[in-house]
Amino acid sequence: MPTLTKKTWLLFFVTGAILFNLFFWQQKMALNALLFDVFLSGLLGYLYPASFKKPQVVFVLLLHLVTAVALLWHNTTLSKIAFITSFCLLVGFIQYEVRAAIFAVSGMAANIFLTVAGLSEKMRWGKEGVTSKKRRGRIGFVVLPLFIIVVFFAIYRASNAVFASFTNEAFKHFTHFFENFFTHFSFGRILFTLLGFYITAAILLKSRSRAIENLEVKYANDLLRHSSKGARSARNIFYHFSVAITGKLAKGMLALKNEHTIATISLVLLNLLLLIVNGIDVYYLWFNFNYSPNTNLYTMIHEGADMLIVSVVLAIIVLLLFFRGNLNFYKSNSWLKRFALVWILQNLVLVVSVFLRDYYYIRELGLAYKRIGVLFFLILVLVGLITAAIKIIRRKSVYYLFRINTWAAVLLLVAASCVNWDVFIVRYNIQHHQTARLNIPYLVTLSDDILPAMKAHISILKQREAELNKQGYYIHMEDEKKKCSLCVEQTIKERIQQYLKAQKNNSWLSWNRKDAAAITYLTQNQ
Amino acid sequence: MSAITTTLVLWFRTLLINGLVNCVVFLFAEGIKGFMIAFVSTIASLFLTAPLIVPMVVLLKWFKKLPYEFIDRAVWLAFMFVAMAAAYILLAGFVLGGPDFFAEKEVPYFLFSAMVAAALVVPVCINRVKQFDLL
Repeated sequence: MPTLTKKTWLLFFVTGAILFNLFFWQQKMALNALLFDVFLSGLLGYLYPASFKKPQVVFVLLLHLVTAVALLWHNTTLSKIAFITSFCLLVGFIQYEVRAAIFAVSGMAANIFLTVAGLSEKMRWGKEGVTSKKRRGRIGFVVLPLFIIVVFFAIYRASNAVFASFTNEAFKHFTHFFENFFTHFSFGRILFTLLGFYITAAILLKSRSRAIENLEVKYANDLLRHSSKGARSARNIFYHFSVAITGKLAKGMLALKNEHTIATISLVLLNLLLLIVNGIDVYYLWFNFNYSPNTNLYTMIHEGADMLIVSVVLAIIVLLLFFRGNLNFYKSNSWLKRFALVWILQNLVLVVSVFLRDYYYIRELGLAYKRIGVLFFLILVLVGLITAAIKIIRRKSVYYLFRINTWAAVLLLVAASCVNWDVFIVRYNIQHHQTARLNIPYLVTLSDDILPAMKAHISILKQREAELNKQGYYIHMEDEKKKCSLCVEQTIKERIQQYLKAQKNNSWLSWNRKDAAAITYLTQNQ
Repeated sequence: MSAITTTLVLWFRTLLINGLVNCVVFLFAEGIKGFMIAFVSTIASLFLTAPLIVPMVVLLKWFKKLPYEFIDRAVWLAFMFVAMAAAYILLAGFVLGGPDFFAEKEVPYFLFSAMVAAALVVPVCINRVKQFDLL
């Protein structure tokens, strides 16, 4: 990092604060975020040039570019979250010597937490010494007399009417100045500028804490065999837990052999149990599933899927507990490993069963956020199971598992940010309205992004509403008591008007393709 | 002094400074009644702010470990105290009084005096560094 003077640092922070204020005040996060990002990334490149050669930084920079495009294209909440997350990762990897995404984010968190200390360090004038101590002493001489004068001033003002009117006259000018000051400079905007100053400083100033880097150094990708002495020193909460459960079996010379026996019995029983569950699922769900209106889909699929996901996550945790230490190096562990791998395979079958449950649900009732969420969660669980198998076969550490899975989560977040899910849900559900029941009350709860798609397919929505009305169901929109037969059309019309009105407050700084296309379409088809 | 003792001293001094600032603020705002308001609010804050002792101990322990010079750590501690005081008043006020709490005319005064007191307590104690074992 180049050595900079205090004035240069101050110039960076003040410029950042001014840009933040100009770009974001009462604006949507869109093109302005990209401009601010270019400013900060440029400064990071200037301050930490060597870091941009690191493979992690290059990779995260690419991910960040993808999220930037997604932000400008879709401008969804998810794309904003992905954009901020990838930027935090980028800052973390640039400033800290870490490998795992979670440690990079922790580095950024440390920056935010210690910004004030860093600012004080960079902005301090003169060295701490006799002069500043003398200065502090002099201030001490002034504080108490000033306080006493203020108290007595207030007392005399409260007790003497003439003195009060005299001081009120003087105060009038003072308050007049402040009133005028705040009409020209909004108090909120001043605080907003200070926030910009803080954010700029948090991003540019690397905290002096080495705790995160020192912590990661302790972890390796490959497991190491501990000697019995080392194993004793590495006793942790899991050891105490197993002692509490198994008593003497977890102690002494035969502790590892006993642990092996317990793990083998557990895995054999768990495999048998899961075999029965999977057998039922494969027979009924994979090959013989017939939907009838009497089937309670919600209970069968929704709640069932939740519990199964929990069971797969628990399965990974159980495997991690068994294969946390020296059992990986035990000579006769080949059967234990086979049972573990079979259990992972069976859990993969369970994942497919959950996927099928979700698929049937989507097929019958259309897309919704929770149903998409289940799919994403299944992808993460799949990665978790595969990495757990790699961990067992290649004797990898829990840190390895954690590192790979956090990267998978980051990649999934970036990939998910590339789709406007609200629009995707509406388009899919409308396209499949003849096979899946169209849930209009749910659709109208989605964001304003859906308005062009809803407007384009208003005839289908009205038709569905009429069907519901015939069956005695009415869609209550704003007013619960009001029964209306054209609620969808009215609501969409009102929301379009509100949306177009709100867009007028945004300047070019809030430009994004989604809003630009929506405004053009809605104005032309009003 | 242990971190807990130091925290207790810092907490008590913050309350005293808060009482003095309240006294000045309310003397201007409410006249002679301000003394009474300041006195009652100081006594009330003895009980109301007691839960803040726990995060203060944590902050003080971190303060001792931070890899910065003493003066930078002191600035950081003062900032954290101010942020904590403001957040606590707003949160406690919202929990006890609901959204109407923010409409009360005294709220900005209490907020201001608490933030000033939290900011002042660290510089005041810096002059007694050895006494408070802050180094």
